[in-house]
Amino acid sequence: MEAGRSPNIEIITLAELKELSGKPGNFRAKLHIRPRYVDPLKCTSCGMCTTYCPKEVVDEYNERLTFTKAARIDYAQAVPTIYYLDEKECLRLQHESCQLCANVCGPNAIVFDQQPEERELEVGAVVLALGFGRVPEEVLEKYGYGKYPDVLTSLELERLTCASGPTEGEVIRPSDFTHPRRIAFLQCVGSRDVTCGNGYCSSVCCMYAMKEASVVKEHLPEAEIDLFFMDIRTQGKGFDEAFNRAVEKYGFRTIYARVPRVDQVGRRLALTYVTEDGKTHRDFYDMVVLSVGLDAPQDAEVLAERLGIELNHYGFAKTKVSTPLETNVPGVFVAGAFQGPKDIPESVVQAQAVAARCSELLAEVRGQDAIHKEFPPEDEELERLEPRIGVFVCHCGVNIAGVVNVKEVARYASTLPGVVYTEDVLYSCSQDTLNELVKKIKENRLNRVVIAACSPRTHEPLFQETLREAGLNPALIEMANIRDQCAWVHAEDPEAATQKAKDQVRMAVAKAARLMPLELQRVSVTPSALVIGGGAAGLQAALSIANQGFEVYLVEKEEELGGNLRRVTGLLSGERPQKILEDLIKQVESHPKVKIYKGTTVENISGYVGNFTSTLRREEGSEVINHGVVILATGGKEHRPVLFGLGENERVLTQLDLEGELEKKGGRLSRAKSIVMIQCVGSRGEDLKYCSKLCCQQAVKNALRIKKKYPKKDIYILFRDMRTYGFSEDAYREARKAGIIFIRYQVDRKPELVKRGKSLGVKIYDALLGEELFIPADLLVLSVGITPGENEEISKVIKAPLTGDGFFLEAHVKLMPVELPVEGVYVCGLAHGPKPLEETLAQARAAAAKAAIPLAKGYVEVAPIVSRVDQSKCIGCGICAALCPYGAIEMVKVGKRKKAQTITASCKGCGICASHCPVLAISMGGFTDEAILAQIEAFGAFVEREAEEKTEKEEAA
Amino acid sequence: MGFDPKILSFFCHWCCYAAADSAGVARYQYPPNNRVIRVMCTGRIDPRFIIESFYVGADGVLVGG
Amino acid sequence: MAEATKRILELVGIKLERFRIDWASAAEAPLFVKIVTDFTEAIKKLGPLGEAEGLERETLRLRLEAARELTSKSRFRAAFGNLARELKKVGDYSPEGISSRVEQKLVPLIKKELLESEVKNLLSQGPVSIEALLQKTGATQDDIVPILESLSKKGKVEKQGDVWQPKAKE
Repeated sequence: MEAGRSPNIEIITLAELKELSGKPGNFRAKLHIRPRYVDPLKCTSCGMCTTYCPKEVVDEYNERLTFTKAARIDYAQAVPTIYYLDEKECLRLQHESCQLCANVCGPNAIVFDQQPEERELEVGAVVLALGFGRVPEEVLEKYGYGKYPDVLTSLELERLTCASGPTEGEVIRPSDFTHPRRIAFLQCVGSRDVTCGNGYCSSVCCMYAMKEASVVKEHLPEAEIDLFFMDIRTQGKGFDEAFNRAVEKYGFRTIYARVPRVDQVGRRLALTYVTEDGKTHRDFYDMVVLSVGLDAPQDAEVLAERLGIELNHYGFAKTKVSTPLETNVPGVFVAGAFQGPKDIPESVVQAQAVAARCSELLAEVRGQDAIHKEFPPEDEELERLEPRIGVFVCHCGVNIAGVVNVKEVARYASTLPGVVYTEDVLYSCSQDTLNELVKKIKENRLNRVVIAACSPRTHEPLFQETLREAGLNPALIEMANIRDQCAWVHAEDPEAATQKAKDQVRMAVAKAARLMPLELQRVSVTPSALVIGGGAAGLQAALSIANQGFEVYLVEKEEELGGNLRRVTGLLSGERPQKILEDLIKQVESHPKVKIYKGTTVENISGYVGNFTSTLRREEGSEVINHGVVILATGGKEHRPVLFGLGENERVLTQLDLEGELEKKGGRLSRAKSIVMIQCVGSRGEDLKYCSKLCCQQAVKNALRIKKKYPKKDIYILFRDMRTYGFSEDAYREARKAGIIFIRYQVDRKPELVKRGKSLGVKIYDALLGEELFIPADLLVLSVGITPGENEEISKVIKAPLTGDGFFLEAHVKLMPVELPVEGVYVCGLAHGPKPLEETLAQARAAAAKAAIPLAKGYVEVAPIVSRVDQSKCIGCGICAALCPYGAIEMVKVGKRKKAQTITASCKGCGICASHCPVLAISMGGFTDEAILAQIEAFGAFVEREAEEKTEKEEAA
Repeated sequence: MGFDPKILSFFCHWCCYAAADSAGVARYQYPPNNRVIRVMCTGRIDPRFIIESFYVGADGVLVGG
Repeated sequence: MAEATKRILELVGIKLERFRIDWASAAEAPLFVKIVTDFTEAIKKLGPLGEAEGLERETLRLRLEAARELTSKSRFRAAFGNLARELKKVGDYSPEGISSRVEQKLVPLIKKELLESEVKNLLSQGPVSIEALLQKTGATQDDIVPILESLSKKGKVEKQGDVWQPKAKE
């Protein structure tokens, strides 16, 4: 929606990139655009074409579970919200035989003879966000898909559980429409499976299976659900916790087994599988859900060839750990699942990161072609007059007028106090009507406008803009929603709908009379950033912001830059981490826009987005700096639990210690014959409740490195779940092939340290053998996880909350993964949560992208819905400041008294302050007490009128 | 004659108000008795508003977050 | 907010079924429809305001008037705001936690203020007997007498035989 509204984003649908020439900063892109057969400027997305279209077609959006029409929109929230004709299915386009849609289309938006278009664009950079493809049906057929109707894919189940899906959220078996009582989820379908060519792990399925299973349980509390895993891979931030909670709440059974096939027996489905203890089981289910993986996007190869970009052996874009967004073609970037399977938060992070990458490349020409709309000055004199309200009642074709008596509503509106002009219009949002609207406002000297039409959520910005064009403050409009919340939902009762429309109009007029012009507030921004932390995340974030053209203060508390990355000596990709780090440091140190403070701590941060002031303390003294934004890249620490003799016995190491040993010649490692690694030491429920995401990869990596250096050494990895997600699954497979022995241990039977004289060993219960094994360990390597750094102190200073585990809590896990609830403060790297280097580097750029927005704009604009404190009324009790969820109210000294003051730039307009103010000193822009009370009062008139009518009737009787 | 209750609703812009719009898009049908006041967040709602609603004669008040 | 409002409604005598807070996210249109439909049905069953409560229009108006005054009064609002602040500070948002705190810190104030307003409003309409006051407010003698006494101390009302009446301004 937001992207669709931006004047600087053009969404070109139905288009294909045919050719790309030129170089970074100066590309020419040739597009082929297929016809939509609907004029986007005319379509009002009323849906009449779909209603009348006679051609039923299978609904691909709903996974072929239901039908739709040839004239349609795939789903209501689609952007652009414009209908299209399905070329292959449309009777007119195929057989010249029908034109019902054109006949019923009010605004005449249907264009049957629209032709394909070739278009050339001049662009500076190209981002490939192709997404992911589907696992081929042949793979699913192995599990009886297509043969047994009750074998579904997870995508199909997703539609079934969707309230607006084909069954309106009812989970039923396709074979007999009954509710399934026992359901099995089979994981890793089309993932971690070399037989189908997809050797990688799709990274998201364990988590989504849990989510879908939970949703099913909400619908069918009686259902018994079993989930079959190879490993439970819920490595994301907070995922383990969510998973465990769901298992406990819904009583899911989690079974470690790969089910090879599905059979139908009678009306049920039989699964035969072998569990880890070697026993064979056969169970019956009513429904089997295949958790399908994320395939490479189907059209990737064609495009790759056209652009000359390299794909990896699975068909995803080939990238490096150090440059996860870069293809081999300069200026062509990637983001999202096309770069490798990933979930929504990771995809959003990469998307934001790639925006930073483009912004770095194009920094010099920033704003060159940006569109800024100009408006005439406001007629303040007119605005000060008594309310002169104009009411425009929209027919919306037949959408409103088909139910509500629009003329009557308009007539009624003209009788309301303050109303000086009324009109009913066919489509209020069409461009010509909007132009008319401007004219009518001027002609009739209107200073308040009520539009009775659709929802302010979708259309208020449009009308606000129209008001500005007419020289009125955009706050002087109020909408009455008589379509989405009236005509459409009361289609069966036109009389009541008309009555409701009148009431809503009356309430809107009452509010409009009390609307006041609101200044669009702008706060200027100090164009520099403070980056706290000089590890990989901080370095990358600082570099990106500097490359985008802004000053950066990079603060590192230690005397040396690099953080945890300094101790890492190898990567699965073969890249050299120290080289990556060196390059980063070199670039940062030589960048004229970065000022580095080593051995420095940040003492005090005050202010708000655009205008922060901080004190940097060094031994030699302190310095006060002003900056517009803050990036927290404070990192994490290696956890060092007192377990397995770590710190007491020199033969017990952590994986990071081992990285150091691997660089040495000789040493403990060369002498050891048998090396045992233990995963999750102190993690996932012990000292640390969470999974640290990178230890499994690190263990496999280090094991392979040992094996390469010393092929004869025995290496054992004892694990709970091997979480080598994504392409690192390849390394896991390689490690097994190389003879590294993996043994799963049970949570309730963890490995134990055994000392026999001078030698060390580990006792572990092997489920397959059913007995305890003793493994000698000349070297015991522990995967210990990551603990948060000194987040708590900063969290208090900056008023940004932490998660229960002590990492910074993002403003929204999916939509705002690097923003904190406090505006102008961003987070990346281990301060946000444990993650491998590649993800840290992407996230650092994402934070840099977000941080650069206010810096590039030079101001922060605040929607005028913010709160305002009347300081003459304020008694300084501080309740509002304490309750504000965004830290947007501060207590300031005015004279001798404390008074509340809104930090406009941080306010979100929720109104908690106003509703809790003892002396009613706070008013909310556009939602003042007076306005809301006027609406309530106007509602009351409806009650009175009904009462009068009743008495009249009684009297008449 | 059946009783037609008069209901006043306060809906949060981001949640219930949006849900109400979606209900319209999907053409769900529901009783036409409620009148809606949009607020940016249910946090805006003051006990005064609820009392006032009953005072002016609402038979029911629904707050939708 | 909800809990405090509910307690006021309860004291006014309005059935709590008439006030509902529910949640539906933007993606939950069917849930929204269910909420609105169910709520409308529930109100239909209760009948017009006052009917299920067994309250006359006039009494209801009197009490709601008092509630209106209460919710605008800074004394109530300060207590209400402070309570919200306390809840946020201790982070206890369990229904029990909220309810017990509201009971302790807010309800006595609500009761007292409501009754005071009602008594004042009744008296402002002319002389009233104690019996009538008791009947209209639904309060007990123990609750009302102190209010009357304090009002008379302030010189706002006086007792004339069996009835109380507003004191004429000199």
